[in-house]
Amino acid sequence: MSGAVVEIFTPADIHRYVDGELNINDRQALLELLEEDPDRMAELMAYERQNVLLVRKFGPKRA
Amino acid sequence: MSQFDFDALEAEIPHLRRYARSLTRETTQADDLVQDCLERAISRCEQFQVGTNLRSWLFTILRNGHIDECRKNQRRGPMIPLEDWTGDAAVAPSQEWTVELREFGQSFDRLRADEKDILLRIAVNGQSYDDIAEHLDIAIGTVKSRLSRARKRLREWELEGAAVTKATSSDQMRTST
Repeated sequence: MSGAVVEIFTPADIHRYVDGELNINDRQALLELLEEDPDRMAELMAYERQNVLLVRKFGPKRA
Repeated sequence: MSQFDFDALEAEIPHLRRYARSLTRETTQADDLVQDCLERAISRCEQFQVGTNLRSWLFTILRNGHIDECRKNQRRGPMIPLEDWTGDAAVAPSQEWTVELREFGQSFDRLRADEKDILLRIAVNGQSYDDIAEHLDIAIGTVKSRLSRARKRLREWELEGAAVTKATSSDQMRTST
């Protein structure tokens, strides 16, 4: 994790972002910081993708 | 309205496309998502606070649009491109989705039971960390650590799989030339 992100956010905050546990201000602040940290941004996107796949695979069955 | 920088909005389109593709993995769906995001952004441009980060604002709109779309798809079934329509009554996901879901399912099966449980509670049931800690009578730190470990392992396996696929493709290309 880059220095800029460590100053304010922890790695756990990426999970909190993905799970909607951050408020809107923190969400935006985290995204702004991650713009300078492509590896962490890729991590966040990968976790969002995992959530999408989980819903697709295990979500309520369609009518 | 007059303060909104439409040139800056246009400059964000490539970033939005990349973000949308990372979420959907399908070009057409990603383009639709970006289009929808731009329409929403323009219709709500008066809500944008000048001086704040435009990209973050747009990403939030796009992400929310994607979540809405996923929920709709859960209710109505996936869209099938006309060219993929075979006339079968059964509604099947695209081949790309089928392969990805199968591989993801194989990785998911490798997780520990408590890691699977946490992921399903959060992603599928929409439970909060607090709710899960209370239901399972565990510390919220345990919820977070199981979640973090599960996601990291899934990602590692995904990256390993991608590396193997890439290496196999390179070998096949070398063999064929």
